[in-house]
Amino acid sequence: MSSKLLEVKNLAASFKTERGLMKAIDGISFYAQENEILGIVGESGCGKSVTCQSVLRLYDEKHLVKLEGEILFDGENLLKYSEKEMEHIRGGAISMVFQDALSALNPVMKIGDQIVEGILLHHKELSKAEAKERALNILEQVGIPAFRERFEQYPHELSGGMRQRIMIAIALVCGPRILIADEPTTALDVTIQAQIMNLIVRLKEEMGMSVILITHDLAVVAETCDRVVVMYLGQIVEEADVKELFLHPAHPYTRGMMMSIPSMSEEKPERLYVIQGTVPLLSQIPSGCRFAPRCEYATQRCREAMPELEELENGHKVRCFMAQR
Amino acid sequence: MEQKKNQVLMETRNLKKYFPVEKKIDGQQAEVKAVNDISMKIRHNEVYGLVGETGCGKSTFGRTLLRLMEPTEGRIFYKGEDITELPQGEFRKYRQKLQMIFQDPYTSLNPRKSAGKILEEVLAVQGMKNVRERMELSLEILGKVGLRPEHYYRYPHEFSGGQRQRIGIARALILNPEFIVCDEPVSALDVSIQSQIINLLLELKETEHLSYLFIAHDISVVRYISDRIGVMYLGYLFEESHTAGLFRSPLHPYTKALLAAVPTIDFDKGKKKRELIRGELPSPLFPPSGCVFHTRCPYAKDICKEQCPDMKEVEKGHRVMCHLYDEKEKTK
Ligand SMILES: Nc1ncnc2c1ncn2[C@@H]1O[C@H](COP(=O)(O)OP(=O)(O)OP(=O)(O)O)[C@@H](O)[C@H]1O
Ligand SMILES: Nc1ncnc2c1ncn2[C@@H]1O[C@H](COP(=O)(O)OP(=O)(O)OP(=O)(O)O)[C@@H](O)[C@H]1O
Ligand SMILES: [Mg+2]
Ligand SMILES: [Mg+2]
Repeated sequence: MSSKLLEVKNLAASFKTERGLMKAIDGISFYAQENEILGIVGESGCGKSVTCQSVLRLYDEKHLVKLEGEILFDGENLLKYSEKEMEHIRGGAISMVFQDALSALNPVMKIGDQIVEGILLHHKELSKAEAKERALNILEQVGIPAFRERFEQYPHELSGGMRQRIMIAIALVCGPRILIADEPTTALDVTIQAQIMNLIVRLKEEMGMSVILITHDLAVVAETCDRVVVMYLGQIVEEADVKELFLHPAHPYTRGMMMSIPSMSEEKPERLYVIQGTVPLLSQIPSGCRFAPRCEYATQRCREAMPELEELENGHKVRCFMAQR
Repeated sequence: MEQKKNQVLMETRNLKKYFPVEKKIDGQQAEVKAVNDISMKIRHNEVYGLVGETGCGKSTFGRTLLRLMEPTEGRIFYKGEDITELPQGEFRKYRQKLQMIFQDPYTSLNPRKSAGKILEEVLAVQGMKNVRERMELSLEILGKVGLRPEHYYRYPHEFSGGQRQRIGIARALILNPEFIVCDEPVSALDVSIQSQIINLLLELKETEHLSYLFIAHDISVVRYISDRIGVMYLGYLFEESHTAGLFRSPLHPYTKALLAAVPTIDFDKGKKKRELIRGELPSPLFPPSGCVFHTRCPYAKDICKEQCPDMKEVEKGHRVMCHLYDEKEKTK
C-alpha cells in the first residue's frame, strides 16, 4: 500500500524581478509516496530547486515570489498555511538538504551547536544534554569521522563533503516524513556517496520516509530511485518508474540527457554527445513545446502547440507529440 | 612541438601542506596533514585527473600547487623553474598563466557584481585599461562558455548553479592561461551541460594548448577526460597511472574499492547495494601509523602497520604506494 504523502498540483512560481514577473516553474504536478524515493532530474536552471523550495515556501512571498497551485501534504494545502505553521513544518515533518552546504551553514557557529539548535527548535521538551546526545548520534550515523572533535569545529574547517554530511545530519535529526534532498551528494566522492545513498535508502525503509532526490547523477538515480520526474525549462516533460525511464526513455530531452553521460568503457568518443542549442531565457519561453527549438524531431505542430503531459502506459507520462502518437 | 608535448609543465616534489588546528594533543600543536609528500608531474597539454575520498586533500593540493596557499614543505616547479618561494610580486606574472576553477560556484562569485563586472575586473587587475576592450573580451568569453550577451548584466543569484559555474570557467579563461586547476568544475552541473563543459574544456585544451589538473568525484567523467589519473587518500598520492592502465589493472586496494563503489546504470543485475569500503575514514588529525590505509585494507600485513610504503613504479608509467608491490618494482 502506498499513499500520496505529498501531492503537488499545478504549481507555478513566479519571481518578481526588475524585468517583471518571471515564471520559473509552471504547471508542475507530481506526487511523492511514503517509503519511496522520487528522483527529479533535468537541465541546470530548469527549476528543480525552485520546485522544492516552493514546496517548503522558503521564498519571501511578499517581495520575491508568487506561488500558485496546490501543495497537498497529508491532504492539507500548504499554500494556505500561515508563516508560523510553515515554520513548524520545515525541519520537522518536511526537511531539506540544500545544494549549497557552505552558505546554508552558519559560519560563526560550531557544527554541534547548529545541530543542537535545530533539535531544540522542534523538540522543546528535550534538555540540552539530551539534544547533544542525539546530535552526536546522528553525526556518527552519517559517517563523520572523529565526530566528537568535529562537533566543536566551525564549518570552514571541514571539507565540502563533510559539510554536506553535516547538512544531512541536521535534516534527519528530527525524523522527517519527507526528506527533500537537493543534490545531497554532488560534492561527495563515490565511496561516501554510496554510504550516504545507502543511509538515505535505509532511513527511508526504517522510517517509511518519502524522499525527493534532486540530482544530476543519472547513475545514482538508476541505483536508488523508485520513480523519476524529468524537468525541462520549468515543466515536467516525463515521469516514469526508474527502470522504464532508463530502458524506454520517451522524451527526446530525456534521451539526449542519457546519451550525454560518458560511459564507463575503454573506447572514448572524441567528444561527448551534446544536446544542441541552449536553454532559452525565462523571458523568451517558446510558445509551443518548450524543447522544440533544440529538438531534432520537432515539427511545425511542436513549434505551435504545447503538448500536455499525457500517460503512455502504467504511469509513464510524457510531454511530447511524437512520443504520444 | 613533439618535444614540447612531453615537457613537464607543473611539478611538485615532496609537497606537504599541514594545517594547524586549535586543539593541542598531548601538549603538542595538532595538525591536519592535508597534503603529504606528493611528487607529481603534469605535462604540457595533458589532463591529469585527481580522485579520492572527500577530505583527502585534493583541493588543498590544487591550491597549494598554484600557491594560493603556501606549502609547508616541498618544492613547486613551473616549466622547470622553482616557483616555491618567489615573492608574491614576482609571482604575479605566473598567476596569469596558472588559473583555477573552483568547486563551489555559490561562494566563489561576488554576489554584488554582475557577471560582466566579475570578468572585467580580472582584466582590470591585469592592467587592461580600455573599458570598451574589456567589455568586448568579456562578451566574447561569455559566448565561449555558452552564455548569452544578456547574461552580462545579471548578478550571480539570478543564475542557476550550472550557469554560475560557466562564469567561473569564463573568469579562469579570460587571461589566456596555460594551466588550470579545475576543482570539480562539473559537479554542480546536470549531464547535458556537463558534456558541453567537458567538450569545451577539451576543445580549449586543443586550441589554447591548455593543461589541467582535473579534480572530480565522478569517475566516469574523470575517466573520459583524463590522460593520466592520480588517486589520493588521506593526504597521500596512492596510485598514478595512464587512464587505461588504471581501469584495466588498478593496483592499490583503495583504488579497487573506489572503483567498485562507482554507481552504474545497469538494470540487468537488479538493484544492488553499492559495495562499500569497510571501516571509517580515519581522522586526519590522528592518521594511522605505517600505511594510512591499513585500518581499512583487506590485505594489510604486519609491515603495513609499521612502515609507510614508498611510491614505486610497478609498470611503465604506473606508480603505486603499497607494500603488496614491494617485490614487483620495475627495474629501471
Ligand atoms: N531568486 C531568484 N530570482 C530570479 N530568478 C531566479 C531566482 N532563483 C532562481 N531563479 C531562476 O529560476 C530558474 C530555475 O532555477 P533553479 O535554481 O530552480 O534551477 P535548478 O533546476 O535547481 O538548476 P541547477 O541544476 O543548476 O541547480 C532559473 O532560470 C533561475 O535563473
Ligand atoms: N583552512 C583549513 N584549515 C584547517 N583545515 C583545513 C583547511 N582546509 C582544509 N582543511 C582540512 O584539510 C583536509 C583536506 O581538505 P580538502 O578540502 O583539500 O579536501 P578535498 O579532497 O578537496 O575534499 P572534497 O572532496 O570534500 O572537496 C580536510 O581534513 C580538511 O578538513
Ligand atoms: Mg538547483
Ligand atoms: Mg575539494
